[in-house]
Amino acid sequence: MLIKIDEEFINGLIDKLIEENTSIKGLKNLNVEMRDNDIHFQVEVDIFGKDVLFDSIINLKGKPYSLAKGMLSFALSGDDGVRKIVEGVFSIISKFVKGIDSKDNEINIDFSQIEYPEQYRTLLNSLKFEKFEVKDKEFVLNLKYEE
Amino acid sequence: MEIIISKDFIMNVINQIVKINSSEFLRKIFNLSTKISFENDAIMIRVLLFKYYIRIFKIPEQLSGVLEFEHNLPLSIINKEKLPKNIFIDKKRLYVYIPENIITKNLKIEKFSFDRDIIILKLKN
Repeated sequence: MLIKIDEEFINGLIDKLIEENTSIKGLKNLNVEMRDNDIHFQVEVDIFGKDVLFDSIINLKGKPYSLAKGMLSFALSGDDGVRKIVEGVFSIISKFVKGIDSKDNEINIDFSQIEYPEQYRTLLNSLKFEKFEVKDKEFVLNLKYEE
Repeated sequence: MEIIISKDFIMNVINQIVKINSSEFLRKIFNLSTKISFENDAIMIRVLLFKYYIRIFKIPEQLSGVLEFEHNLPLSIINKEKLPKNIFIDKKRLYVYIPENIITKNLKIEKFSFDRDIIILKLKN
């Protein structure tokens, strides 16, 4: 199973979901740019009449072995402020969802620890991450069935 | 956004689910069927001497909507009460309801096809 999501699609969705539905004072634009193996998350804000652009970078560091085994990890860098927000959001989620961990500029999702219904574990473990990458302004995920 | 799924992938997943799921309908189809293929926007199921099909009939513009398929499945072997809540079947048609939420109502279906044993779904904003 191949899933491809391009930059334009993500930005269109962000525009519709966030910018048209919420009004955060001073927030001018949210934008995602995919470059090399990195995802740039850009926030443009108007602070005290000045336009400021924050650029935070999410780098895909490691892919899990299957949907039930292994670790998905991201490294965060770039502007401190936005980075801390992203880290904070994951830190909150980690309190509720087992297997998600956020510290030292890294976000880890441990698929081995996610609690699936026991009868589906074998199936999910047969779905292997063959490809998981950012390439040519596109996010590509290829899941392969293998017993 | 593009999702491409091969027939083999789906068959492998369904086979695993059938093993753990008690749905009689699925078991019957998979125990008896000899050949399944995707062609000309249809899922063709050959069971012994019979040929069944489920063909795309109408696709909504928006993802949150009703996908309409035409089919010739024998209703007598299908226990309507055991079908998922968002699937409705009558003599000639099968309807799949996709619930509206903040994501589905903002996405449009650009392409949905079953062909050459591959399913392609393209979504756009």
